[in-house]
Amino acid sequence: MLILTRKSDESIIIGNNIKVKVLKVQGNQVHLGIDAPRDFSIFREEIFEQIRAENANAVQNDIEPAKLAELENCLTGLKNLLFSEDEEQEPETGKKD
Amino acid sequence: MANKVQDFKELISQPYPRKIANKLDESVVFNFSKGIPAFEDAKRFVLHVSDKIKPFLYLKSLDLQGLGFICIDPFLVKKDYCIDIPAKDQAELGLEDPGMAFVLSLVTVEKNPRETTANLLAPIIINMDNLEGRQVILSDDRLSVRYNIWKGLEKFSGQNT
Repeated sequence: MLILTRKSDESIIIGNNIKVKVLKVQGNQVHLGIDAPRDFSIFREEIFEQIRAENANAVQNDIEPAKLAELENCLTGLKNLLFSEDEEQEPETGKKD
Repeated sequence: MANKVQDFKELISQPYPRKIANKLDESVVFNFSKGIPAFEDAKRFVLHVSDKIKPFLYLKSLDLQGLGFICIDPFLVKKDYCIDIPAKDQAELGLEDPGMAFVLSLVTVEKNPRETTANLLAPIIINMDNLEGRQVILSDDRLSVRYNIWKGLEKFSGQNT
């Protein structure tokens, strides 16, 4: 791991085509300018962590045929709820005629 | 408003485009060469499609026992959803024909259905030409990893366009 010090307006070069420049230092915030080829992905680390966490949240454990039926019921319930709630509002608009 | 609900019902009852539908079969294995974040060892998936749970699908791992996800087409839950696939991901998927990109959002099912969310920031994209898939992180700050499907549908059916 490399540790170094830079001031505002100074840069580091990674490889031969990625440049990271310190634009401004303000209290505990650092503004960075990153110049990299389009085929590099650059994310705030917490975005990546958020996605990992949400993937873990979204897991539906081992869905055996029996459990799949259970899940089908749940999702059918969800669909019915969504639509029936919307439909309940239909008569209201109808009565205005 | 009733018409909009009808529109939505028609939308979800529409069949998948034939070139995608042909490959929506449990015997078709999708390759995720890098797995997905948090489950990097899950490299092969199959999709379970059932009319009963449509428009939801079930994405099941063949590598990690017990791993699976409920998914939905994000364009169904957010009418103005729009994705710009980063060049790097497009290259790694070998995606040349946008019509062959099958886009899915992982769904977090909550006990209260109204709290069920979909991950719109990091959709699963599968190239149906070569069956390569990956989870793509979009660079759009407005998209959420926990987009409330219920609220989205309300907005959808309330559109005054």
